[in-house]
Amino acid sequence: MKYWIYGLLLIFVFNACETNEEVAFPVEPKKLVIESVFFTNDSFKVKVFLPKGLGETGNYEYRNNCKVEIQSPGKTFNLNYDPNRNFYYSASAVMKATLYKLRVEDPDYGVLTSDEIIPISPGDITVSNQISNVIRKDTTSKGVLINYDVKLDIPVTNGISSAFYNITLKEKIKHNGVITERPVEISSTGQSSSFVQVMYHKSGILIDGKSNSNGSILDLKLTCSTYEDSPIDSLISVAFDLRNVSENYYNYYNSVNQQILQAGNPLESPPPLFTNIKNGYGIFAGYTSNKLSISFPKH
Amino acid sequence: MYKRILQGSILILVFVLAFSCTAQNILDKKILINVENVSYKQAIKIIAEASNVEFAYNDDALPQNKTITLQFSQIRLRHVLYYLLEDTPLSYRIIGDQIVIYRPDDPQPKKITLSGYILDSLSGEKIIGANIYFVGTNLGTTTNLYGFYSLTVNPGEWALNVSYLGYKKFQQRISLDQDLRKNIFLSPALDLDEVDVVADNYYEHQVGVNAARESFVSRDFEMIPAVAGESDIIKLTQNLPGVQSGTDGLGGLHVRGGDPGQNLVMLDGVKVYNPFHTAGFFSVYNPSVVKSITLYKSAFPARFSGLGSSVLDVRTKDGNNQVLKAEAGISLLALNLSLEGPIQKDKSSFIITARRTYIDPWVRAITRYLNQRENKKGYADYYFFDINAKANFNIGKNDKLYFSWYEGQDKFEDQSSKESEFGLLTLTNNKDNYLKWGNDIGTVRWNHLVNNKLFANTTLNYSNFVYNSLSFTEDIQKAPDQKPDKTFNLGLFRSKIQDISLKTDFDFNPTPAQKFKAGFGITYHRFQPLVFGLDENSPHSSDFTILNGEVNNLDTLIRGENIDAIETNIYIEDEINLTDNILLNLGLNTTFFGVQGTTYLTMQPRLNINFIVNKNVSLYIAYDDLSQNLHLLSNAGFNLPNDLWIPATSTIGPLKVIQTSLGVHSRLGKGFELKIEGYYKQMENLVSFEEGASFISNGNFLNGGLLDARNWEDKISKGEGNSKGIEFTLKRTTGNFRGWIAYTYASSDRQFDKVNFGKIFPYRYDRKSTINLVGSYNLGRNVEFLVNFYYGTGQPYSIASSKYITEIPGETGPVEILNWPATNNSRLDPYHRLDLGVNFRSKRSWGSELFYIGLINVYDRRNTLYVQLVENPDNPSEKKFVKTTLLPILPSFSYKANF
Repeated sequence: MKYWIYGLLLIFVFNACETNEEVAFPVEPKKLVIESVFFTNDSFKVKVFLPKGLGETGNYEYRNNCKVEIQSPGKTFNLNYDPNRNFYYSASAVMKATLYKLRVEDPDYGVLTSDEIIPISPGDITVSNQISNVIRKDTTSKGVLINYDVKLDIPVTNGISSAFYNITLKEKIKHNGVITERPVEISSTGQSSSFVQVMYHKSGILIDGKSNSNGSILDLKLTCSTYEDSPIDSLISVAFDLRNVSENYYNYYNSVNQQILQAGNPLESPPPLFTNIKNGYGIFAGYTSNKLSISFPKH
Repeated sequence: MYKRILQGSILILVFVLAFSCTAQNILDKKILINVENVSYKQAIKIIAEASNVEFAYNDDALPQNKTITLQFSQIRLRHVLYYLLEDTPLSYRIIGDQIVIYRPDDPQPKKITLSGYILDSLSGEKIIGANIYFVGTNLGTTTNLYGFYSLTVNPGEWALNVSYLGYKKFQQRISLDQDLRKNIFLSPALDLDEVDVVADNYYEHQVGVNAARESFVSRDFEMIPAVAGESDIIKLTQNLPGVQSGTDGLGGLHVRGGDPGQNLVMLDGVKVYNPFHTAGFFSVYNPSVVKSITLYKSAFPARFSGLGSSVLDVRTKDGNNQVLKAEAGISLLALNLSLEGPIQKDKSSFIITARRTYIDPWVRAITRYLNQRENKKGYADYYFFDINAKANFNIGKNDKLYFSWYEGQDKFEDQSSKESEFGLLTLTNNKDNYLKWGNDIGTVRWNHLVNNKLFANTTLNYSNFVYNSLSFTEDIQKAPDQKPDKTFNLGLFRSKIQDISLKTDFDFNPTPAQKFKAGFGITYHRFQPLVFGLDENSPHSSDFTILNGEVNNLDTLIRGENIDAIETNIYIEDEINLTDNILLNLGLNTTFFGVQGTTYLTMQPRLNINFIVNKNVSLYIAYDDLSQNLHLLSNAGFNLPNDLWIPATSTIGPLKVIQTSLGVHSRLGKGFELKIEGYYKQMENLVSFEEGASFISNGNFLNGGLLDARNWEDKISKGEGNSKGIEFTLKRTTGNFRGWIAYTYASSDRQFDKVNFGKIFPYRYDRKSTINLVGSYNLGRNVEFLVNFYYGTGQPYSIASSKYITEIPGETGPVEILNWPATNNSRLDPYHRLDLGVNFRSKRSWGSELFYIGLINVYDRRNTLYVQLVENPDNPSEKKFVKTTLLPILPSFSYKANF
């Protein structure tokens, strides 16, 4: 009986006040999305699709009847549609440090355009030749946890627009006698500054060199961890994909990253999604890439 | 843009000056006079009566053994004076609406100063803002914040008049031939009929002088229907034009497009860092102890510093110095007790009030029951309390000492434990969440009358604001005959600010036409932000214990970072009656702020010009240069207590605000007033978290005790903002119906380098149009009907427009992302709510009582608190938007007894 009385009192005061109701979707004209991320010595690939409304089933619908062209100084690439891979592609390879202009003409959604310059190669990044502080913790009930540090020296000069980086790491492990490669989990970068962002999947980082206030070389000590619920034989190596990316690339993937990180928090506004496409959404961006691998010390 | 506003203002100034010069000169009054062989003194008296003009003169200066004959019909007063004085050495001049007769070759007659306090006759409480003036003149003043007045005039006989809304008018003829200290007691009007509508020259002269501010006194506090019956003084200000809050009052005060941190919210002159209980539902001000509140939205006097949008000046009672009085009240939420009385009759008094919510046993019982239904142990608990204590002592004739203490705290705890079994394994999940925040404020104040014209107030105060949030989760896995395997996650967020300040203010009133204020002060700030996390893999992971929401050996785990700052302040302010029609308030506030080796010197000029067009209409122009050395960083935009106060530093300068406003104030008769005010405000050095950054997101909260609060500068973005708007208010302060209806059209936007990709976006609390209705109607027989209606167009918020799938570098498969095109790209539904209530008052042999009953949200409008995107559980690719609402239709009541 007393719970009924308490319940009634609380209804009259606060506790039962919060309610949830469905609201209508905002009405907004649809725009096409372009996704084209390219790097030197590869061909151009441009995806064009119509995003779905939030209440609709599915996520997108490819557009296969567009006229797509990319211009660089003195040259025009006309891209053809590949119905198997659902993108437009060029036969010629991308050159570095060149201005590219994209133009997509869709019969229903008009003309979409974008500009991009590919940044220079990231030759200056150095990775320490040793992985340090490898700590292995084996427990019978929880499997194996291994922590290790990787040191990176990255030149991030203040004010140079090319100083944007995207670094992703994969580790090669031997598990039950089988060698597999899988994404690394970064638990700390040794920096709490916001110009170094750990991506939501934790196997990569984004670096905004323009926001590096001291303008010097950035020393990163990536603390990584790997976990397996059954015994791991050994860690073999860590592979790096070091990308020197354009500002557009950084902004796009940083906004995607932030949006996924903040999903589900109703009290914080999610960050808007970056785009450099006029009359549409998405990204037209380039990067140059170096790949290397370092071996694990014995542990 | 500013130049245009200033140019426009100057044009209006010229227009008004020209207009005011056409006002009829009293010397042109035509009178009929017929006296024969009367003394000069008698003649002057008859002229004064015939012309209805006050004369001031020294008897000794008049011809003593001489008579005069004046026989004129419909002759101008200037000609009468010519004939009166032509054979004498006397001359005359006009001061205000008064004619002063004097001997030009005499030295200036010695001025006389009338000074003292205006007090409530029943309680001895000092009255702030009472009008003291001489009838028929524009010579007058108002009491200061401590009830003191000072008026310096020529010697002679004067008709003194003292008035204040809610009190019977005091009138007395007094003869002033030497300085006089006179304390005046006003009797409270027992019913509305006894309240005089003040109507004389001085009152007419005051039209518009304070039009840029809004004041409320204790009788106004009960004119708004109260949620849960808990009346709240800040709700009055939230219903003024230009003032916004979030849904159902959450979200704090947003004045003219400013952030909540830009309000200087004070308790007896001391800054209150977090003025709300229950995350914004109720203010920390207990109405039982509050004497008056004043909200400034523009025309800020130079004495105020450290603000960007508004000043909310809350003054508390001193306590009854005549008889012992008590008050007890209960609402649906809280109990309230108050005791006041004399320590030594007429000389010293005290007041102590305490308020505490009493719903915690029920919250515990209900949440325990709800947990049991989910096979969990534990409960949630919440309460808040506040205590005010104040004592004052007269130390001799010229000195008063005040001691006051405020303490308030909110505490929330949610603890649960769930045990489950999987085969032979026993799994236990423990959760503890603690939130605790509150202010402590202690003040010692010394009022000193240096002389009859100079009043000094020296204040020493200590303020401490603490917010603590602790979350702890623990998973224990136990197999038979094995040691338990534990994992845990501990997060602690703390924001602490301690201030010690000393300041002295002077009020100097050399003449009725000039009021001069100056002062200086020094404040020492200590900021102690702390973010701390631990898990089972962290160093020292087993070296802590938690007790009552505190990590009791925290100092051994992490050393907090203190940021110390010194702020010194000096101001000068002059209020001058330039002519009968132009009143000027100009001032300069200079602040020196030093923090971590960086110093900022800011000069803030202020100007307010009032033009009295006629007895019912005035115009005013204000220019406010404002600066604030403390920023409030908001995590959620809801003005929750975990918002973080941070000082200006070498990379983030002080907030700068320039506001220009222009207004007209008109009396329409029968107690009605109309105010129209427009403003334009520019804000620089606003701060915001970068897109996606906060102290407790992105996984930085945990892993080895990262202290991100030390690196907050790297996570914030500087920005700018603009606000503009026009406000209309029709208000009635007397009669059976009191209240106002207001309409505001406004807009406010923001631009930050690292938010919304540097593009301008609407401010979160930007409502384009709002309507406020607040009314109290006296139905007779001590029954009042209360109404409060609010309508506001929808607040901006961010919403996704579409979805697609993309591949992210480093991710093994495609990821669905939502396209949120811009910050605050859409608007919520309009907010509107109607609250009704009735106050029943009755007098008893032992005192009086007030019973309030009301209905909140009468037509059960479901106003949106926030909108959330959720997945269809049957088809995760389908989304829907769900709005969360808070207050449904709610009854409310309260009972209060005074004895």
